[in-house]
Amino acid sequence: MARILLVEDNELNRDMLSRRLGRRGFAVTIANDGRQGLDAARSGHHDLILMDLSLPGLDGWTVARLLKEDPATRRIPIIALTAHAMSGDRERALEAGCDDYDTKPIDFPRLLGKIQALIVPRCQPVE
Amino acid sequence: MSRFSETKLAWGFGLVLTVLAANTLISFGDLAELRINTYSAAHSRDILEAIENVALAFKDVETARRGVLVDGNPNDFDAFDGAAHSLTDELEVLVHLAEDRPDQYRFCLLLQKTALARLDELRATLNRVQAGELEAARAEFSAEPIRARLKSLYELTDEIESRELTFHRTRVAERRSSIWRAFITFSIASTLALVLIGSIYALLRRYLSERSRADRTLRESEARVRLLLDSAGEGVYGVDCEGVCTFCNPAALQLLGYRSADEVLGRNMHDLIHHTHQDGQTFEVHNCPIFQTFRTGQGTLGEEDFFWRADGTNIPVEYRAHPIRRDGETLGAVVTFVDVAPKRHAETEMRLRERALKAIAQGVFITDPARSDEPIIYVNAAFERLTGYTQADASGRNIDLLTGPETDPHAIEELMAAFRERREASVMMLSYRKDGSTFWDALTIAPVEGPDGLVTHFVGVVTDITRPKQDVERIRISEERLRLMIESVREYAIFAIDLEGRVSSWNGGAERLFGYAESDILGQGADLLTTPEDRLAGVTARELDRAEATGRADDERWYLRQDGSRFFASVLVTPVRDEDGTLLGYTKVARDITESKRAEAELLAAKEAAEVANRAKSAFLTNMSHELRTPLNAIIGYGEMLEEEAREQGLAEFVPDLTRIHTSGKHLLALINDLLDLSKIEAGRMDLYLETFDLAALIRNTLATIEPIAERNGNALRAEIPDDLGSMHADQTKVSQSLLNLLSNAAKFTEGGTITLGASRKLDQGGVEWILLEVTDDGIGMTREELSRLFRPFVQADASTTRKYGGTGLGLTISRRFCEMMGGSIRVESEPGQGSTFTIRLPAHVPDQRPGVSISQGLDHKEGQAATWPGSYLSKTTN
Repeated sequence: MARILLVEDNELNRDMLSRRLGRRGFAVTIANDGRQGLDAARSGHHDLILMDLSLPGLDGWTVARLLKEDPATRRIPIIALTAHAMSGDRERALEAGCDDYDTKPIDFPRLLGKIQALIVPRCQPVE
Repeated sequence: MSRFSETKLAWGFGLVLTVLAANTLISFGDLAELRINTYSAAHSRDILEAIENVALAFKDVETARRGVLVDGNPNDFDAFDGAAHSLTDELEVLVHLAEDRPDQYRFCLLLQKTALARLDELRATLNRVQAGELEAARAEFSAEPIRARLKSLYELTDEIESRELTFHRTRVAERRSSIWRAFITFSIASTLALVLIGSIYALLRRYLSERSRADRTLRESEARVRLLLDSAGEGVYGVDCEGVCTFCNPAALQLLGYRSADEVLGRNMHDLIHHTHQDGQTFEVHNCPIFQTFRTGQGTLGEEDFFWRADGTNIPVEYRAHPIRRDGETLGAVVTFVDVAPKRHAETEMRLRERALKAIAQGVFITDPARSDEPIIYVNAAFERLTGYTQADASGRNIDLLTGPETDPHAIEELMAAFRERREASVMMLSYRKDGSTFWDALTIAPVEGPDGLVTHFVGVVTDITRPKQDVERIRISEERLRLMIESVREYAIFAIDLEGRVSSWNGGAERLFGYAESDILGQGADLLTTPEDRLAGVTARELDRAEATGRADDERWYLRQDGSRFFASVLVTPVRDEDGTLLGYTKVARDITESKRAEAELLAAKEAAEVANRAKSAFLTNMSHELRTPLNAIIGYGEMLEEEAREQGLAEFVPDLTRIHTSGKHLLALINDLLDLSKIEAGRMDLYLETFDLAALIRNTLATIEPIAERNGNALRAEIPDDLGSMHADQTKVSQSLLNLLSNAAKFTEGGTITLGASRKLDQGGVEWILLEVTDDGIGMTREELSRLFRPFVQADASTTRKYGGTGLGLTISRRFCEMMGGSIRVESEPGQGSTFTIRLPAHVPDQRPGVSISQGLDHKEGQAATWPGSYLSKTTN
């Protein structure tokens, strides 16, 4: 069962996403802010991180960069999530080391597709 | 010391050596001879001695024989044998000694032979005695032959002896003479050598004393030369044939800027001071005239040349280079030079004055005060022009030349007095030209003093002031006219400010504007007109300085009226100069622009207020849209989730309602997103993200998205995409969003029809490549009036269409703005009932810099990433 860390400060979004992912068979860990997200990512064994970018305190870009700089967490794929539909956000997310990017409101099937794309290659043995 | 003396000395020494050598040779010869003679004499004495011994041995033999014969004593036989034996030995000695004496040897041998023969005879005789035949023996002996033979033996002995004696005497004499000769020779040679040595000594003494005297003279002469060089004002230096400095006097060092001679001694002077022409070209040493001096042995003179100083500057010099020669051989050169800068300077100055004298408009003459009648010795060209008298005419005559019957006698008297008293004088008088015409002459004379304070010349200046007198009147009239004109200007304040900053003229306009009457303000500081704060800041002085420096100074600021009220004025200050450019003062022109200023300020304030309000509205919209979206996310998300759950759990009756919640939420979100986009565009905060992408792929993606919508209304979707459409450099998202908007509009407003998408590339006349995306439908179409409202935000062609067809009514506006941001456009052609054609026209390569548009440069992304991206706008444009 794939484990997903969801870093999201908005309670409703957090609840909805975690429940929907849970229903699809993912084990979801939640973190309320950047600091928590960073700690959770470092302590747990996650297959993927969904990262809201605009977080209070330590923002999502910073957390993503810190995780990608740390050899222990570098390999965990990160999908950045943001409400800002600006092209600059996407650039900044990719620059910070995020592996993919999606905008809110979440189009759930599309997000699922992205999650599968990043997790599956890691679960299946390389030919 | 001359060479001759040296030769003499050498000869002397040679002679002494020769004499001594000859002496030695001769003495050696003499000594050798002496030695031989001495030896010969000694040898001869030995021979004599041996002969003596032979003679004595004979005597002994005779005595023994006689004893035997007389008494027959047998003892005497023994004596005889002994004597005979001794005789034989002595003979042997004699022969041996005479071996190296050929003259005596023969005789000695004869003597030996004869003597031995006699001895044998005697022994034979004596043997008879032994035999008892004494008498017979006596008789035999007494016989004549034996006696005769004995006698001849004695004679032979005597002969040898006498010969030897003669020889011995000769040798002894010769030895003596040899000794004498050696002595005499030695004496003569020694004396001669002594004499010669004495002569040489005398010669040497003379030579040495001469030499020391010459040295002293030379040293004195050198000291004198050095003193001369040291005190010379000219620079002097010497060089050897290599051009290397061998001496340099203090004046040269000073002129060339060196502190001590050590800095130049041993250096190549050409390289040091003469290496470069003044124009910067290298002065090749083989072209250097000083260097030529060594070669040709000829002195040279340089007049227009430059020497380089230690500090890198150069000085103009005149130099002379003289070769130094000894015995026909050039040893080097002496160069003397002077710095001709002062001379050049004086020449230049002189030429300048000469030129000035020729050029000036005033007539100038010079007189010679040595003579009481003060004759003119020089007149300049202007004098010739002015008076008609040439230099030749004027020479020798005095200033009376210019006077005539109507010349003021007082003026003439004043001039004469000034000449007498050797002082300056200026007079105004009527002067006469050569042709008899007259002119008003402002004549000045001034004495010129020599260095000793005595007056050497008088200089006179003749100025024709006839014309200036007329000009003054003309200018006065013209000025009056100008003054009246300025006076009558009412709209502009025009006033003059003098160099002290005081108001020096004041026109009617100024009076009207500032309220001061001319009499109140004239002479007052112009600062009075400015506000107190400007006065403190020194604005007026700065303004005048700026005008003086740049020719004009304009400004807009507040000014003060006499009653203390303020007005806003535009001013222009210009400097006033005379013909020579000397600053006389300033004019200031001021105009009251308070009204227009106020109007302008109001306009500006209104504009700013409007902008602020607009910005506030945009900010509000942005924030509000963002705030609205957060709960909407939840509504849509939870709705969708519930819908899924209801389906899965078989609660079919809830599904349609939950779908309505979900789709309504999405519609609201699309509306809000459009509002957000629009407000961002309006606020100038929408960025372009440029990247290169495959256009056909983008179109295919968009078509896939629109297909379900098109099918919903029973429309057929046709696309005409050429294979070679290629790539495009633009904001992919915005292109996709615009195209999607056109397609979804077409799908919405067409039922059971056909929607056609055409794509093509076109080159325009300017060589720019364009992409054309054409969306054609055969739907309801639009009237002209509907078309005109089409691109206005919040306005659909018919308000009812929103209700009927959905959509925000913002899509077209946003799409058009997007296209415009990328330098393109959207055009529309439509007929009611005939359908519409919307055309997107975009540059194939959107320039990376466009005014007023913020652009971020994209990486050219991988196909996979690019393909997922345009889909993010799906929710905004579909129902």
